Amino acid sequence: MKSTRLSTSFSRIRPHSFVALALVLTASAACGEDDPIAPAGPIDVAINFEARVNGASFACGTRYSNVGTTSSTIELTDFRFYAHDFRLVAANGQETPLELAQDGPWQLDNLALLDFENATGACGNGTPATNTSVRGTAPAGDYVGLRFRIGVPFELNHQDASTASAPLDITRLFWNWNGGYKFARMDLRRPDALEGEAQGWNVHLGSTGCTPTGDRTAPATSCANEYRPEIEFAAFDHATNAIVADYGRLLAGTDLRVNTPGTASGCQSFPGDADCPPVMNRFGLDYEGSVSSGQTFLSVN
Amino acid sequence: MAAFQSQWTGRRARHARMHRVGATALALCAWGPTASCGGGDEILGPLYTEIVVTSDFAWDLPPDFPAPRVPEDNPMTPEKVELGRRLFYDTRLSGNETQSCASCHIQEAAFTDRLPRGVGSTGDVHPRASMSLTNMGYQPVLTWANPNLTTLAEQALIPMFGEDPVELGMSGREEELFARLEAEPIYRRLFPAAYPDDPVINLSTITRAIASFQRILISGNSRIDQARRGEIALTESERLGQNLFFSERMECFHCHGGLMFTGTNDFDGKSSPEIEFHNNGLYNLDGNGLYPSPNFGLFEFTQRPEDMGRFKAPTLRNIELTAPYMHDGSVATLDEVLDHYSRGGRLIAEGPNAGDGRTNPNKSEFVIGFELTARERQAVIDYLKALTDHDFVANPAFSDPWVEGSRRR
Ligand code: HEC
Ligand code: HEC
Repeated sequence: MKSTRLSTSFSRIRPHSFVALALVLTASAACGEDDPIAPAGPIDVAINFEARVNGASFACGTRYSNVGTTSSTIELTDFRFYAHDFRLVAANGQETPLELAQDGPWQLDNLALLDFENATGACGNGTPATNTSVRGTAPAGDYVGLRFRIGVPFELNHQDASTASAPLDITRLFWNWNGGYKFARMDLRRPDALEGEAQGWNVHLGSTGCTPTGDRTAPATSCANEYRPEIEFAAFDHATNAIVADYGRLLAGTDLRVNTPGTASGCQSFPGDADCPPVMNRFGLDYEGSVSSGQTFLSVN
Repeated sequence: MAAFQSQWTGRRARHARMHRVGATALALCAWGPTASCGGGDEILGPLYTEIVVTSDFAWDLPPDFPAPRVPEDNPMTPEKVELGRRLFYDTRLSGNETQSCASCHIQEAAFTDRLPRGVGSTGDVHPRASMSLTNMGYQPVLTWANPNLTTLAEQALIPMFGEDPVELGMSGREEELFARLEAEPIYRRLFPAAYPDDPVINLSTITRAIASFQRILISGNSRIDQARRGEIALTESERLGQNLFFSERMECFHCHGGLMFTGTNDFDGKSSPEIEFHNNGLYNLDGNGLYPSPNFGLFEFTQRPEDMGRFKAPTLRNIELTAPYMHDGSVATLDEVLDHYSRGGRLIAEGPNAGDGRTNPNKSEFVIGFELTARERQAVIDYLKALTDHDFVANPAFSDPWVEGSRRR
């Protein structure tokens, strides 16, 4: 996805040894999780994601109609989000963390970038490579559900972006004014917007209200609004299910013709933006008194 | 560093007094009207009695200036400064190759752009005004109100990659940027010279070099500095202006005091940086302290109601050259600045920003209002103009290093 320049020369010490270990262990568990005599060794887990717009598969350059409350036609220019802290859930509710493969471009520590754009068409400022799955290992077990969070964990979010390793080296996801990253970036343009209507509508999710406390030269130590939605699927089998990220469903309560004057284009997580409640609520987030009744952006297929 | 000519050599044998120390105790006297140790100017207080320089770098410091504090991960070298100067003036840093940092930070204007609000390479208008880069190495926190931006290297990412507004417009195009720079023969020499261990062109090396260049943008040869060092005498009017500036009647020094003429400052050997944000009563849209969107000041980051309208008080060094003033360029002249402060806050009678800044509930208690005679008003303006450092804006070491047909614009 990127040249090696960025990731090799200034990268932090990476857990290469962990990757090697994971490979050895997964090899020895090749007999499979359903084998009754299999040892409780680690199993490979891949969690697949699909990007859609109102049920239709997403592709750069494709137009989608009937989006939002006033049936706009849209073309996406970006579709990416970070997710972290993946946990496999047993029937009794017990969580087992998924150890992510440290694969270089897409996964770092417990963080993964899901990237559905391929830099073609209107997605020209993206990256040609895509990533539609999260890969790791977990002890063999009877897992029935899945939990994770959208976003970049706090410890990784407020470091120096100029020396950060992939996938935190993507300038399009930098959110420097706030000393962090855009957790999700889903931008669109409206090819048939009328005069005076919003030409585009952007969803940028990220922590806001971040300030240093104590030592005032340190990076942000806390954020008033974390905006890292916890996602939970009670029934999820990684072998057969996929997670669908549907931008159309995220915008189901939004009139895309309108952007409240004096606010950022679309909803970019800033306080006081009347365009935000319907979007934030669909991420499963409360926003300035508007309470979410549960996220609808992601679903199990 | 051949291009880097000292303005100070021969003026005063200061290097004899400069100590390279690891962690020596410091005897720095306060620089203000309440100074408590001997020597120096009656009003401005004593000079720094001992200068601490912990780096090997040959700073070209004005006499009695401490050195900027340098982050551990980016030691100063002449080679990095030279590279950073090239990059600062290089239009290849913008997407459409029309703008460099210098387009909005013009040396003759003390590194501002003379516009009320910055205009980016694709025509986006920044919500705020460009800021002077005078003595940038002494600023522990950067931009008008962002408490999280604490290094020059990190700050440089914003104009390069910011999208709201677009400034240089390189977001998502960093590979293209690296390729452009790699194609330049001068950089094939300068990157290895600046980073001998790992001469790669990436965001870290680019931003750290630009930061190093900005750290040498040191201004300390205004008439006020010269008078402080006993080299010249201020005029009678300038002296009166100085007395007023540092008086409890005008209170300017509370927020624009100290060697850097801003309360927000740091330097090598200082126990800890000082960081201040103040509301000086420019707006009050709703009677409750509201500022015009999106310029909410510190509130944008903390979301604490009392931080609405609190901004960094910029340095007043070279203030004569950096009009128009304030975070949104809404005050055109120094005379208007005095109108604002003498009223104790600005009254906007009509329009979308109507409101009385004087009654802003977040306004600092030091913006109290005052009356000046015509002579006193002229004296304060004369004093502010005596903060202009003509050598700084003409220093060839800070100028565009690219030859004719420059890439600056
Ligand atoms: C489009 C005009 C524009 C360009 C190009 C630009 N700047 Fe700025 N600069 C500004 C504005 C506007 C601000 C105030 C930003 C704010 O408060 O959000 C600023 C603020 C700064 C500050 C903070 C100063 C202080 O006192 O805290 C620094 C440092 C700086 N710029 C350096 C740079 C560098 C380095 C570059 C090139 C990589 C650059 N600028 C390119 C307009 C520009
Ligand atoms: C309570 C602190 C405070 C006091 C007292 C104060 N200032 Fe300021 N000053 C500020 C702040 C904060 C700003 C930036 C405000 C903004 O842009 O919203 C500023 C801005 C300015 C500017 C414009 C700087 C620029 O680069 O645009 C000038 C000039 C100025 N002050 C002069 C003065 C003078 C003269 C006095 C005394 C009459 C004074 N100030 C008193 C805090 C203060």
